[in-house]
Amino acid sequence: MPRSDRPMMPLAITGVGCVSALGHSAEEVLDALESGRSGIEPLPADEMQGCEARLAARVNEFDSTAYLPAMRARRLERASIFAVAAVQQALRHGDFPDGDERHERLGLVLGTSSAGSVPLTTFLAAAFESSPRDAPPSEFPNTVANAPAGHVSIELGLRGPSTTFTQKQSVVAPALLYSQLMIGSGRCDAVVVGATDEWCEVYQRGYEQLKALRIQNGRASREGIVLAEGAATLLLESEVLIARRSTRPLARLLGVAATSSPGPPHHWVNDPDALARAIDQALHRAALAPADVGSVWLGANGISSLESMEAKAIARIFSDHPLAATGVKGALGEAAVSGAASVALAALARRRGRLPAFAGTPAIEWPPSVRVLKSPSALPAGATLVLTYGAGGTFGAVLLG
Amino acid sequence: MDPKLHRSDTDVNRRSSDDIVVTGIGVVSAFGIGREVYWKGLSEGRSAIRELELFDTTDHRTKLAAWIDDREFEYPFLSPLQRRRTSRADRFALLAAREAVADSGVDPSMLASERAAIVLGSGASGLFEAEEWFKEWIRRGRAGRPSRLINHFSDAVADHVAQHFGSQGIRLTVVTACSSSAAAIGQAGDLLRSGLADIVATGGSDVLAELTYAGFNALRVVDPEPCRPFDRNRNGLTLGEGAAILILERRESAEHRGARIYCRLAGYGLTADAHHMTAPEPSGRAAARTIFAALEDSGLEPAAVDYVNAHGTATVHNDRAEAAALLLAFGERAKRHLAVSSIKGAVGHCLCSAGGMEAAATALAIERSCAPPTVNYQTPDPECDLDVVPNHSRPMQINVALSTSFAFGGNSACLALTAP
Repeated sequence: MPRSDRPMMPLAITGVGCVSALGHSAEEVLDALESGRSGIEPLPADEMQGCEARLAARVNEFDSTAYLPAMRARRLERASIFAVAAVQQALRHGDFPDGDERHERLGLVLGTSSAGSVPLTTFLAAAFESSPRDAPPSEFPNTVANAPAGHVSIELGLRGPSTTFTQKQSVVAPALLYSQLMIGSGRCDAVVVGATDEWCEVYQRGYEQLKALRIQNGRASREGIVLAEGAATLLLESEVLIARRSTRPLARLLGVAATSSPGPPHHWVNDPDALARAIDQALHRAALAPADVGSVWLGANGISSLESMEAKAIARIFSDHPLAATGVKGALGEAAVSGAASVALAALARRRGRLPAFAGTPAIEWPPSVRVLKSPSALPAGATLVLTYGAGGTFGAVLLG
Repeated sequence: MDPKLHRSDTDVNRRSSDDIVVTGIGVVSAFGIGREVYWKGLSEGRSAIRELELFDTTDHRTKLAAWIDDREFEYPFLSPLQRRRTSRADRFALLAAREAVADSGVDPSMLASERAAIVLGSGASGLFEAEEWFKEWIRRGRAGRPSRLINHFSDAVADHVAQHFGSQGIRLTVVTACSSSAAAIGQAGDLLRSGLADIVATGGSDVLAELTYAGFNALRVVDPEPCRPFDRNRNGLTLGEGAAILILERRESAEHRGARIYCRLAGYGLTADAHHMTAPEPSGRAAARTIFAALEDSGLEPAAVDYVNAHGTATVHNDRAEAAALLLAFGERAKRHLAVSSIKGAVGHCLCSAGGMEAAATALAIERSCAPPTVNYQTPDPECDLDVVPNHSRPMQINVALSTSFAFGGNSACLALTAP
């Protein structure tokens, strides 16, 4: 494989944040995963009449007042509220110093696959039901996908480089890659990177019509994803910066890669070569060999053909090298945030020295070299690999040490 | 506090020899298909703003837009099925990308490489088509045709461009509202500088949709007349649509191929205003920080800048804040000796593709030694006391140019482009 890029400068992960269907902080979410809980629940039948796919991993009973005043929270859509909370969590967790100068040197990179969906459908519902004149102007600014990043900057006074990416479910990989470039090139000293998503009824119905969602009820079943919502973040810092304030990182970001394979936007692209390339490139950038990796957080989202692809890609790179495997999407659902949550939780799990069990049931029979965890387990020696893939044919691999 | 930014001592990956150049440009605008049609319209000081016929505007404050009449457009490279399964935004992006690739002279197979990246700014994407689905759902309570939905997400444009060329490298969509495609171009440059890609198709594509048209009308920031950037009597923006794709590569590969080089992407700046979701920070300090960030990234002094392709939306507050930023960044020189123009009077505010459209205009301005004019500029505004290029192009040598983009959410971007 051609490689003209260089090994990456490792970055310290000093804090993480997570708001999800399983809990309202990264510690809570990892505890819940370790105890085998799932955040996937049936949607109320009366809310979802005419929709067969009634599973979702929604955030429940979230108290935003710990993160922003109630008056302000009312102006924000859910993806922004979750983002404001998860970014604050990561900064507090990492004990990131306050102050104007710090905030000018702190970057923000958020991914999303659904931010703005609720304001968008609310605005359009009013416009199409009666007249555009009746559409609520206050909803319009929140229809843009960068609304969460904007609100985070405003609420927390962050004035460094800020950007928002979309590339469906795998966006965390390029988001981490760009964060690394920003710190490496000196654009900023630290970056809060992650993703945020909100559940939207109209989108649930749209995905259902495209036959993309899992159905599991008494009468019918179908493979598919379960939509997720929430936010997950990581605070990345240069080693130079944390050395100045004696912070102990949770983990180190050693290597990241994002690859793709051509495909239409609404199709999952089954290309083990593309995922294997991502793993290979991440290993190269981390200056690691396959034997240096001990565990993997799978991208597995309940679709058996994709899990087979993942197994092939892993076999291609690791042959029979043993890996302990876990995965979150059987409990957290699937969206851009789920990839970010995988990376954030993998970092936290490294600090704990434990891996949670694979959430849910694997969709395939994995080869013996990939030990899919049925219960929490001690973290094996070696680096941790996190895999993601997105509809349309994008793939990501992240290595933590 | 000094609005300047200062790069820290962690600049370990940067290589001074990494020169990123623009070798191909493709544009679809309200003037029609093609880079030359675009430049002709801009440089002649014409406006493509006219009555909008894409959807009903009866209930809106304005009836105008710089819209693309694509009813006669042909797409011989798409099968009938592909045509049905792409949105207007996708098709405009494909036209622009194909023109840019042809213009650059690269073998299109290079775009199929795993060393080729697609980094595009996008926003509405297939919303124009998805709105049909929403209408069915909202008005009749039943789902519309699923094919209307498949391109709804902003990243669908990048997916289609990647699929068309068979790209296997990094694929990324930047969604920072009106600065999306400017940010995408800067970030594409970083991928090349870092060695993560050898060639990048970047820029953006965005189209009009009922949501955006109604939204800007609801915020009462649209002018019922064609917009007048920096004019004393300006009264809001005019929406537009379009696609602009640039081919970026490292200088050594461009020179090795003997490619024509339009200009160099010297650097860029990204900042967050942290002020308000829709209103600009009024003192101009936030926007000035973005400009300083771009200059610092490029290793350029303010005195070196010859031309600024301004964001210039023509809203009262945005233009005033941008003028204040230019005065902060360039001092008294901004008033009389720094050519400034906004092309939004010609092609409207193309939202997520605006930064790409303006970068393309800036690259052409450098190559052709000509600053395009600010159409509809009649009455100078003392609060925008700038050297505005009014209505007629200004022939001038342009060695260093900036292109500014300011967005909802306070996501600001500034590109620094220099003569090759």
